[in-house]
Amino acid sequence: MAWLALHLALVPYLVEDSYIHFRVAENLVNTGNPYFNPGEAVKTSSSTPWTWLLALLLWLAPRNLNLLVVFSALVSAAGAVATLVLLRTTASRKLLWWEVLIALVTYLSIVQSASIATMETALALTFATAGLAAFAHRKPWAFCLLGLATATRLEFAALLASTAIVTLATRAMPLRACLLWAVAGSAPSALFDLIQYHTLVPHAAVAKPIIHQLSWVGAFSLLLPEAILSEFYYHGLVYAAYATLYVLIATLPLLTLTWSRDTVRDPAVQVMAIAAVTGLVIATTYAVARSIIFPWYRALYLGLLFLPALMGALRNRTLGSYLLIVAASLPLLFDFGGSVLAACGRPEVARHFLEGARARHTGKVAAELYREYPEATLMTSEIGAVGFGFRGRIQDGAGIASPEALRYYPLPVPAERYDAADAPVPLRYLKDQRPGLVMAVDRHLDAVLSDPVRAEYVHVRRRLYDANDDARRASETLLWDSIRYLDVLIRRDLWRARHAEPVEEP
Amino acid sequence: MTAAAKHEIAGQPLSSEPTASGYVIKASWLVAFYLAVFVAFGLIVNLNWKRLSLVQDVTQIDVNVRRLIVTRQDSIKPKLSVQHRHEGFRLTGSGMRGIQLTAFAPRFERPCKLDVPHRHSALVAEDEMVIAFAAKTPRPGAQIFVSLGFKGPRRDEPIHEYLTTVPMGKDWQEVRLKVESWRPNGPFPSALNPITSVLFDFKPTSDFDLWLREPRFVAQPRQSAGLAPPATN
Repeated sequence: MAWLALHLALVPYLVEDSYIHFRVAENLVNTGNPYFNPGEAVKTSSSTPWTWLLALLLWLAPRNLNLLVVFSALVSAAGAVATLVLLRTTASRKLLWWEVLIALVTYLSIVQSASIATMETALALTFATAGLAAFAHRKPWAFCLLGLATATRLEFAALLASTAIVTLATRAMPLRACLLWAVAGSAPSALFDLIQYHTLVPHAAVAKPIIHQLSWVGAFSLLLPEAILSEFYYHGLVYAAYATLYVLIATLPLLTLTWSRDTVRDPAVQVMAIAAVTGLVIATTYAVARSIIFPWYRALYLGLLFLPALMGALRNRTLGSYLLIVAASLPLLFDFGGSVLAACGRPEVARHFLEGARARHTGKVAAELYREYPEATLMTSEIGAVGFGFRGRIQDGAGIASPEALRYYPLPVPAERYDAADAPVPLRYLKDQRPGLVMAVDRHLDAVLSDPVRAEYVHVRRRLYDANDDARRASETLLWDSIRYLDVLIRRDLWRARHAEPVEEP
Repeated sequence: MTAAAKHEIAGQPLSSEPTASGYVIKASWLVAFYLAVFVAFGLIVNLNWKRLSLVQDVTQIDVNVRRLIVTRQDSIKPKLSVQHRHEGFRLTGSGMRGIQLTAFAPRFERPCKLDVPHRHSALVAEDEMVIAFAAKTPRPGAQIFVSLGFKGPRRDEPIHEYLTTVPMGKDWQEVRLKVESWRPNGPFPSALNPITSVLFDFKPTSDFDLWLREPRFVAQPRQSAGLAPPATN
C-alpha cells in the first residue's frame, strides 16, 4: 500500500517521456494505430507490450493517470516478488526476514525512478527476473518471459541471447521447447511492429545518436545513479569507486567460486553469470553507443548487476557481502528516500521534481493552445507533455516522432544549441515547415527568436512552472539551469483569425 | 566457517559443492583485477590530483589565493584560455555559451573592520552595499550576470541576480551593482558572513576576450556619487 501511495502522490510530477507513452497508447485506442501522430507510422514508443497495456487501461478509463500509475506500481511490485522467488530458488532455502528486506529495498530502489515515471523499464525487468527464476527452475517457458522482456525493452535481447547460449552449451533444457517459447514471447509484438512500422527498432534508437553527439566518456559518466555526481563532493573519485563497486558486486560472487564441472552445471551459478554478463554488456553498449542514459534506463543493467550480489550473499551469508550490497545501494537509496519525502509533502526533494513540474505546466499550456487552435500543427522540442496536452499534429524538433527533423542535425554549437547533447527546435526545420504554433522552453528557441523568421510569429512568453512549484524550486543563477520561461510562437495569420487586438510581446 | 559447513548445519544441500579438482582464483589476482578496473575507470573520468583538489571541475586561476575560479564551462570542447596577469584575469576563447567564475570570500572594502561592533555601526546600517569590479573587453561586449552565493558555490538560499553588459573598449570599465536586498544582519550591522561568494556568469560572444579585476564588496554611504543603479533582472 505504501508503494502505491508513493506512486499516487507523485502523479503530478510525471516526467516528459511518461506522456509520450500515454499519447501513443491513447492514439491506439482512438485510431487503432499506435502512432504519435495519426497517419505517421513512426515507432515513437520504445515498447509495444507497454503500449498495449496502457492502451487497455486508457480504454477502460480514458485520461486516468492514477490508474496508469497504480498499474506501474503493481508491475514493479511483481518484479520485486519475482526477484524474491529467484533468490529463494537459487539459495535453496527460505530467506530470513532481513534478507527479504535487503532484497526488497534494493530492488525497489533500483526500479523506483522508472516505476514512478510509469516507464516500461519496470515491466521489462519484471519479465527478466521472472524469466531467470523460471530458468533456475529449468522451465522451458522461461524463454517466453525472456522473449517478453526483449519485446518490452530491446536491450534485453542480450539477456535472451546469453541465456540461450548457456542453455545451448549445457543442454540444460530441451532446445526446441525453449526456442518455441522464445518465439511465443517475442513474436506477437515483433509481428505487430513489422506490420505497423515495418521495423523492429524504436525510432528513438535511430534518432538519439544523430541528435546527441556525446563523447563516449560523456555517456559513460551518465551510467551511474545521479546521486553520485550530484551529492558527492569528490565525485571523480567517488564515481570511479562506485563504477568499480558495481563491477565488483556483479562479478566477485562468481570469481570467488570454486570452479568445476559441477559449478558450471549449477543453475544458480548460471543465472549469476547470465545476469552479470548481460548487465555489463548493456551498460557498456550504452556508453559505446554514446547515448544519453535516462534515469529509467539504469534499472535495466543495475537490476541485473545486483542479482549476482544478492544471490552470492545468500549463498555465502557473510557480513561483508551484505555490506557491499548496502554500500552499492546507497546512491539509489538516497534518491528513493527523496521520492518518499516528496510523496510526504515535499515534492521539491524528488530527484526529477523540476522536470515533472515543467512537464505538468507545459502540458497545461499545450492544452490551452489546443482549445484555441485545434487544427494547427505545433512544433516543439519536447513532445511528451506537450503531445498529451495538445492532441493535434505535433512536429518534433528532436526527431523522435518526426524523422524528417533529423536531416537538420547535427546542429552547430553554440550557434543553435548550448551543447552537443541539447536538442532544441532546429531553425531551418522551422523555416522549411512554417508550423502554425511553436512551443518550447526558452533556451530551445534561442536561435529562432534571434532570426528574422520570428517576425512572422506572435511571441507569447509564459512561466515555465505553476506558481506553487515556482515557489518550491531552489534558486538558480540566470545563465545556468536558466530555463524559466515557456516561449510560444503563434503564426500571425492564426493569431489574427482569433484576436483583433495586437499582443504585447516580450 | 565455510559456506559448505554452514549449509550442512542448516541441513540444506548446497547447489554447487566444491570439489577437490575445482579451480579457485587467487585472492591476490582478484585484488589486482579490481584495482586495475578502478584505475581504468579513474582514467576514463579523468581522475587526477587536480580533480581531487578542493574544487571540482574547475580551472583554478589563482592557486595561492583561491579567490577567483572558473567553476563551469558550457561547452563539450571548450576553447578557453585563462591567464592571470598583473592587471587582472583574462579570459579568451571561442565557441562557448557560458563561463562561470566564482569569487570565494571576496574582499570587503571599508576603512574599518566591519565584522565587529564599532562606532560606525549606525552609519554602516545606513550604507549601500555594492558589488564592484572592473572589466574590459576589446571585442563586442559580454553580458555578465552577477549573483551572490550565501553558502558557497552550492548555494541553496535565494540568490540576488544582477545583469550588466560590459561595453566594448580597451579601457577598464568600473562596474558597480547595488545589492538590493542588503540588510544589516543581527547585532553586527555590517556582518557579511553569510555571503561567501560572488558568482559571475558570462555569456560571451562567439569569440571573446574578457578581462576582469578582482571583485569586492564596497560599503558606501547612501546617495553617494558615482553609484550607477544596476540593471536588475
